[in-house]
Amino acid sequence: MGIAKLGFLRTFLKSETATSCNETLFRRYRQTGDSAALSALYDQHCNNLYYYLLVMSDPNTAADVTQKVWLKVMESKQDYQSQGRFQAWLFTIGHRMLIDEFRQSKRWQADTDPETLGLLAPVSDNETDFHQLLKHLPFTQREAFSLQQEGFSLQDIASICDVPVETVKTRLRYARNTLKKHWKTS
Amino acid sequence: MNESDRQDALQQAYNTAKQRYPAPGRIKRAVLNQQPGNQQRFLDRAIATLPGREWLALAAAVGCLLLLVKGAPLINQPMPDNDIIALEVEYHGYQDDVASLPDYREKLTLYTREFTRQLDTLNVFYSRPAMLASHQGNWLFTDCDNQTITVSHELIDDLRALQRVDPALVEGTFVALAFDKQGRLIKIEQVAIKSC
Repeated sequence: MGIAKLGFLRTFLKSETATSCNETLFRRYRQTGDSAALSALYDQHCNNLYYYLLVMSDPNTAADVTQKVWLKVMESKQDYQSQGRFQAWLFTIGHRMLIDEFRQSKRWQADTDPETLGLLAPVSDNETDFHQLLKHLPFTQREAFSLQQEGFSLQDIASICDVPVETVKTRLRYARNTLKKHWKTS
Repeated sequence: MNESDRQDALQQAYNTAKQRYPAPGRIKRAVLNQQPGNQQRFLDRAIATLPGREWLALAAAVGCLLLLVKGAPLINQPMPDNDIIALEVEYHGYQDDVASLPDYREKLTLYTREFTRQLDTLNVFYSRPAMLASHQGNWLFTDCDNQTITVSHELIDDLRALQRVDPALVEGTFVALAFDKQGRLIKIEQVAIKSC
């Protein structure tokens, strides 16, 4: 019974206060440098950010960039403009650092070109691993789709990727059509 | 299947895939170790409790020596609990050891052998009651504080091979999670009643 009550409370608090909680935690961290506030912020966002970066790259790059993003958050905490958009700020840093990482390692090729809307690489018609299926999408479609699954609006995605909203819509339409075609639900 | 169902299916597939790839714990440790307050607060506390100026120089010298010798473990201690609403997930798996030792099963065997040796003096260093919430891919447990404990499927496979997981576990089963002295998960066994 205790676990059930706490579970309900946690779910309620999560949905009702996630945004304000982020802002409160970050304000507290910015003002006092409180490690516990930073730790709590990290716990809330680490898996989402890491998985977004993992979908866009590989495990080593995702881990490296995730760490760099949080170090950047610590370094630039005074630059954050509090508008209830901590998560968007975090993913914007993630997107930029990932692009920098690709450029530095000279992996910025055709399939990672932001303007590319290329065709899906060869894939089985009955793919059962969604993570692998995502990897077959072109970079920009994969990114738009992942960000949407993380709860960002079209405007947010456009802002994070620094492209027009109409471009985001197109990328999402391509991505969803491809995924629907190849993803077989059990 | 209509459009809405398809969207839901994609969202669900994405979330399921995400659960299979949690962020490695080493990232958090590395990030928090870069937090300047960690080192500074330790020094501030030490200085504040000194009795007088006469002791200051001596204590500072001893403190520096201690920091050099013992500082790293102190700084690496987990953060204390506080009143912040934090959604914590504890993760057990191999991600931290990927670079250091590719043969995971061999390493687990070594851990288990060490654990067996310790059993001569005490049965289990630390046992924690929990409930199995999900056993698809990575296993998810919920403990008495409603904290989520994720165990990677690779670790589960190896624990099974070593017969350290009760084969009859299903979702909703109450279990005892046994840890060794270093906090590594080494056994999962079913318990008859909830121990919380």
